Order: sequence, then structure tokens, then C-alpha cells
Amino acid sequence: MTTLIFLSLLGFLVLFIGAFDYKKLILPTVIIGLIVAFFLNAMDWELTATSFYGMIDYNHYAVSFTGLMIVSVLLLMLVASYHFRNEGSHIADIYALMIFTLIGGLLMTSFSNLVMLFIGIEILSIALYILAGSRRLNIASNEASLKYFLMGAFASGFLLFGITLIFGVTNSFNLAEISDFVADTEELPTLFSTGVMLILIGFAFKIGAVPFHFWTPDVYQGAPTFITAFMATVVKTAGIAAFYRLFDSCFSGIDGTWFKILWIICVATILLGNITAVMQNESKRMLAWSSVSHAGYLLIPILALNELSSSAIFYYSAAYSIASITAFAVLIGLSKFQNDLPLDQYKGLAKNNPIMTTALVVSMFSLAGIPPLAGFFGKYFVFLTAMQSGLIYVVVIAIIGSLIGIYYYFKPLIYAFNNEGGSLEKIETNFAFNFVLMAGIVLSLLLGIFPDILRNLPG
Amino acid sequence: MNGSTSEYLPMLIQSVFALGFVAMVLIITHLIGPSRKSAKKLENFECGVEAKGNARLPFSVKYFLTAILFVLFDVEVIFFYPWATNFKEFGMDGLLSMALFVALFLLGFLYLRKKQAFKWE
Repeated sequence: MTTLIFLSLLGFLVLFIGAFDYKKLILPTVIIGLIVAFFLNAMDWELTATSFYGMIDYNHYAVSFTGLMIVSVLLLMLVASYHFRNEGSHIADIYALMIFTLIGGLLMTSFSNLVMLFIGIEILSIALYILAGSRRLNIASNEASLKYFLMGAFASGFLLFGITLIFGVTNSFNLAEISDFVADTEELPTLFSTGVMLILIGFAFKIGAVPFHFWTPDVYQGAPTFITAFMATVVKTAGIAAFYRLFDSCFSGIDGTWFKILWIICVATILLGNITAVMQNESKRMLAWSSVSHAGYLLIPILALNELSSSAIFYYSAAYSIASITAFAVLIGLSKFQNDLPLDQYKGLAKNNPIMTTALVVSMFSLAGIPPLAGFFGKYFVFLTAMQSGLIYVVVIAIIGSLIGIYYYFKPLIYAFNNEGGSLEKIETNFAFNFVLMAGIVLSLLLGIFPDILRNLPG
Repeated sequence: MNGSTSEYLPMLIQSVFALGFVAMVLIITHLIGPSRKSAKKLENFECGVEAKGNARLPFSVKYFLTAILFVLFDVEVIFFYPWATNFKEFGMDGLLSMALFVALFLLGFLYLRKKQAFKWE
């Protein structure tokens, strides 16, 4: 709760530091601010009470996801500082927008009222539309921004219409009251299930699940690389967390209305995401499609909806976020602001850049789900959750998807260790960048070897 | 027809009625109204001023920025009205909330000034 206020003030502070041109202060302020926010958030662990007139319910689930998002943003800020090492005009604005996005994500994990959910999604999205177009003079970045804006506006429309219909039936925005209404009513009116479906479509748009994924590859490719990483990790985590929170607290009793449709969305996302990623020759596009497929895996616990679901979602999001940030960081190290990063860009990386290669190997192995890395246990917990609810076909399809995944995650590695035609020069890095790579490697290993440190947090 | 479908029958009737009304009015005015065409009558009406040239001209982006900022601060004023009418009921809490609201907008204003959004030259 204090985190929310603190982060808002931090955002303003960073804006003003940027406006008054104290360039040296920007990065330290952001980093110290986020670390303080992390501890403020951790201090709310025992506080399981609703606040702001019952609009926000700050429980263990919300605290865990907020903590995860703050850590992801912190790592991404460090990557961004490397990305922008040679130009600094708008960096404070970009940092501030990232902090505002984080506020939206915080509301999305802790809402107990549908209005708060909508406000959270909008705070998150509006800042992101700008961030996606933050390379103003680049046409691909502009395209990404406009496309994301149009698609996001559509998604918000669907979501809002769904919320309206549910309000029309239940006469309440409050999650507890809606859940009581669902439990007490024998036969729910058609309007209610229509509302649930529209909300489902809105969320599927936001997390980029098939068949609402069309914007993902173009937007992910056009946006600046660290914003792509931001969208693939923090935004997806927030979206899935909100999705689960809403469906678990309100619509778990009526899974007859949405189960089959979510089943199809989930399976289609896993298969299409993985199969299309195989055919990509461009690294950012490949990672974009891989993030589509990971959205599919993250939907499985929502489909299963049992007592293991929240911890499976949390662990998977954590493993996926860390691996993705590391993978994108390596990509940022390789690229020099261009949009097209063909896969053979990795060629000959291994010889002169040991840290980057290790990070690449660990992140790709973790994304592919190879033990003993975090990604493997993420998939394991997700499948365990599914098996407990008897979703055998989903697990079989998801395993086939992971096997396809191993093929394309190995492609960059094969290029990296291929020294034909000369190896790459040593790439100039700074401390922040190396720190992110090291943190990615250590966290992926640590979470893989001791999965229990995060697994039981959301409770 | 089962229970849930018949609930929507009034909505169907209303939409048919609404569409029918529009169509009817359009047809009737077309039939009974006199129609005299002249060059002056066929011109676009633009506040009584003679229209010149094309509307799709490039214009300075500064106008756009000013317009957006105007809308932003204009909307702020709208929020004052419900607060002002309930000023007594809200009491000190309301005053403090409004002070915070204005303070945030003031910060935005300062930021814009510092970023020279109001500079015309």
C-alpha cells in the first residue's frame, strides 16, 4: 500500500530530475528508489487488509507479484542504462514511464474492485504506448506504438464492455460481492456469461494469446529492444496475475461457461507460438513468438484453477521473466539500435565474450525448460497443477510444444559457438550490464536448484 | 422461445422502432419538402463564412500541443464542480484530496514549463 504512493512520488521525482537536467542523479535515484520500494512492499507482507475504501486488497499474492515486478523493472533499468549509454536526452522520461507502468502493474495484482482493475490496465497500457514509440525518429518504433495503441484500445473496449455487463447483472464492481452473487444464484443470466467472455477476450488481447496475438510480433520487433523485454516480462506477468486473480475469485464456480474456450485458446497459443517461432530468422521476432508460447503455458494454471495454481503461475512468471530479461540483455549487447537482428548476428559470440555466452546459454536453456534451471521447474509445476485437475491432453500438447521449443532455442547457441568466418570482437560492456547478466545466470540457477524459496510465496 | 431469449424481445422491438423512425423521417422529408438546388445552397456551411481551400492542410504541430494541453487542464476544472457542490459534506478530507489533486496537476504544469512546451518561438 505504501509502495503505491512511494512509486508514484518516485515517478514524479525522476521526471523532475530529468527536466532540471541533473543527468548524473537519474540512475542512482531510480535504483535506490526501486530498492526502497521493494522493501516497503516486503514490509506489507503481514498486512492482509483491504485499503482505499475496499478498492485494493493487498494480500500475499499481490505482495509476491509486486516484488517480482519490481525486481524485473530494476534489472531492466540497468539494461536500459547500458542501452542509452551514449545518448541521454529522454532517459529520465523513459525511466519515469517505466515506473508509472509498474504502478499500473501493482494495481492489476492487488485490485479487489473491477474499476481498479481497469484503471490499473489503463495506467500500464498508456505508459507503454508511449514507451513503444520512444525512438521517435524510427518508423518501425512509430508503427509499433500506433499498432499497440489501436489493439490495446480494442482490448480495453472489450474488457470494459464485459465489466459493464457484469455490473448490470450483479449491481456491483466488488469482487467479493460478485463472487457471492455467483454462489447464490441458481441460474445466471446470459448477460453474465457474455460479460465473462468479453473480459476473457480483453485479457487474451493484453497477454497476446492466440487468436488475439496478431499485434505481438510487429510490436515486439518495432519497439526498442529493452521495451520489448519490458513488455515480454513485466506486462505479461501483470496481465496473467490479474487474469488469475479475477477468475479465481469470481468465476471459479462457473467454469462451464469459459472452460472450453480457454482450453482452445491455451492449446492454440502453445502450438502456434512454438511452431511459428521455429520459422523465424530474426532474433527479436523469435523471442516475440516464444513469449506468445509462454503466455500459453501461463494460461494452463488458470485453466486448472486449483490450490496449486497461484504458486505455479508465480514461479513460472519469475523463471520466465529472469530468463527473458537475460536473453534480451544479450541481444541489446549485440545490437546497435537497429531493428533487424538476424539470428546469425550471434555468430562467433562464444570465443571473446564469455559472460555474454554463459548468459545466453543459461537463458536459452531456462526458456527451453532444461533441468536444473528455473524454466524446467516452472514447466514442471505448471504441468503438476494441470495433472491435479486431470487436464492430461493439455499437458501432452504442452510437452510437444516444449520439445518444439528446444529446437529454436538452440539456434542462437549453435550460431554462438560457430567460429567459421571469424569470431566476434570483444563487446564493450559496463558494470550495470554485466551485473544484469550475472544476476540472470545466478537467479536462474538458484531458482532451479532451490525452487521452494519462491514457490510457496503467493500461498 | 425459452425464458432467456424472450427477455430480449423488448430490445429487439425498440431497435426496430428506432431504425424505422429514422428511415421514415428521412423518406418523408425527402417526399414532402420542396427541393431547390442552387450553387450557394450546395456549398458546405462553415459558420456563415465562405469556405476556402481544402481542410486537409499541414499545420504547425505547436497548435496541436497547445490544444492537447488545453484539454488536459480543462478537464481538471470539470472535476472541481462536483467537489464544489458537495464542499460542506466532504469537509477537511475533501479539501485535502483536492489539494493533492491540484498539487499533482501543478507538478505537471511545472514539468511542462521546464520542458518548454509553452514556448512558441
